[in-house]
Amino acid sequence: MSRLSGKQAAERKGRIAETIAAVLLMLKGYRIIARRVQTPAGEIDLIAKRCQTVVFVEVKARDEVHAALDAFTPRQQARIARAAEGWTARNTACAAYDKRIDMIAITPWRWPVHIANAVGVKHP
Amino acid sequence: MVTHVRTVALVGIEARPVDVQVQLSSGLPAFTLVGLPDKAVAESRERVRAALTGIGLALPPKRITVNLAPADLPKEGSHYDLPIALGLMAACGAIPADMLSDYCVLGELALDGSITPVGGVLPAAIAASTEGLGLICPETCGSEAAWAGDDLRVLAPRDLIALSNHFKGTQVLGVPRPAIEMRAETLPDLRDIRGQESAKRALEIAATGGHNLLLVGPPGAGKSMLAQRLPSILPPLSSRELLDLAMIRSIAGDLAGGALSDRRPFRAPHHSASMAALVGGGMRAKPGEISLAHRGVLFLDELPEFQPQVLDSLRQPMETGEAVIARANHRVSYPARFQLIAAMNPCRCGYAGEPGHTCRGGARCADAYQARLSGPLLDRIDLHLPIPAVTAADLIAPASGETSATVRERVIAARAVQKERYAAMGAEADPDMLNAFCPAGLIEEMAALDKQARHLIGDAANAMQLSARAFHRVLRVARTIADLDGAASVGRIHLAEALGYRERHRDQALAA
Repeated sequence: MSRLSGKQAAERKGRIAETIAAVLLMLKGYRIIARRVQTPAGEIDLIAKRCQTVVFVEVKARDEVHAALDAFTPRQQARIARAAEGWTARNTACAAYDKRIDMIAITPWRWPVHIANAVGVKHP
Repeated sequence: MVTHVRTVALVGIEARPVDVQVQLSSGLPAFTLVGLPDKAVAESRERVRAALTGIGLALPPKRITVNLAPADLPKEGSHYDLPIALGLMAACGAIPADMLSDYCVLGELALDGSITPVGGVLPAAIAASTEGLGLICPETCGSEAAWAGDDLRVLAPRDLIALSNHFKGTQVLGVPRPAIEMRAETLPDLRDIRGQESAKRALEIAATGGHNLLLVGPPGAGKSMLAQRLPSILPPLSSRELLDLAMIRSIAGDLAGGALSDRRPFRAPHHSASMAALVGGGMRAKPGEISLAHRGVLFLDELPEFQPQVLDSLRQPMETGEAVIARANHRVSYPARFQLIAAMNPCRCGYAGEPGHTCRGGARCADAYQARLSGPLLDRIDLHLPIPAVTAADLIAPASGETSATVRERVIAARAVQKERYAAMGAEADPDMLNAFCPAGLIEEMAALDKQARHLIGDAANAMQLSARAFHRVLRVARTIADLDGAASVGRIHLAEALGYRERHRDQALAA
């Protein structure tokens, strides 16, 4: 692992974190319907579905839980909200579902932290 | 699905119905509030969210749209918090929606979910009772709302939990009772005033007919003392007047604890008062001192020290008995049928006209000081009364005057005479009308001058250059004096006394 460059290491760490997050969501009864969705506004790490709710998930892997939570900045929140709008517009099958933006913080040797409705309520 | 909750918007003392519509729809979570909310209303979003969190509910992760209809009426005030929160709770199923349809709701929310008091509960309660709805209001405003009638169902919960328990039936709220304000302190008594018999007489006339009174005298003569004793000889408010006044006080947020008092208001603003403070207005239109003195007394001490524009703004309300405030986005009218009692010194140094005193500024001292008051304002004051300094003999003599209670009895009797007379005029007249507010056409008929009196008023009108308004004002004062006397028609003696209280024309005063 030490032979990989910094960027590659981060990429790999991110992929592992996303897999852990996807497993966590599946354990909670969600169905993963997309991973690493590229939209013009930005990338969505995971899109999951349970009952009548579609959840857009941002995964953050840091050494500390607080660092992970802090990493989801308002700017990123706005970006994922825009990306979610864009994805919804193209996937009309999900138009009637409730939508939510969650985040999952992955830290080494700890149970992942899942925060539902992490963006909270958007003010127009 | 849309949930409807009824509330009101306060325009003047009128409560207009407003429908709060809450819709939850799928989509990314958002909370939108539309319907011309001002800043305090738009901020209610944050209070509602915090209050719901405070009682253990989270906002549903849905697109929330709140509309305040009619959408073109500007909404101001903080009382929309509770209807919005209840609409949301009903929309997400925390309380049954059909329960809300029988109630008009108003109240502000604190972040912990408790309901804090707001102004304007009484007008809202009256509006609700005319529509056959109940009222949900803050706990401390409950006794105020109860004044609107016995058949009105009032719910006055302390917090959102108490209300939701009530709807669930686990903890039913009690019915608030109308409260009467208990005032232990006694008013200053007329008996404390030594001498000044003519001033006491004028005060009695003013109290009987609701006339405006100007007291002019040197410092220490007892002008303010006299004015402060006027409330003690005024009759109590009738229940109609009480409610009338309580509406204004409710809007001004002045009803602490919701208790009403049958004592007439006595407002004494400082002379630094601005026009908006006195007449009402401001960015959010609010009733001013003259409206808070409705059916009572507005006492302006040191009258010439008020700004001239502020004083002249009183001219129109004094005639019409209401303050109409027109702004770019408001047009409201507040009732303001008040009695003006003013006190002033005759000149800057205070002693002009006293024996043995010469102003340093000469005759100009008094002229310049009195010129601050406009003629039209003085023309509207029926009783002009010079108050001479009290002599030592009066001060030493034991207090022997009448008590306020005896004078008050005479005033009440004379007011009953007026009430009977105006009630006989038919339903269109205000049942609480006093001589001072009697329309010009009516007073000529009511005064029923005898032949001698007719002769006297003709001569006096010419000699004193009475304006048409002054003429009718003299008749009104004469009518009051005759009422105090128990006379059916106004005689020469009553008219002569009334003319004596009239302001002497400045030129005449100088010539004399």
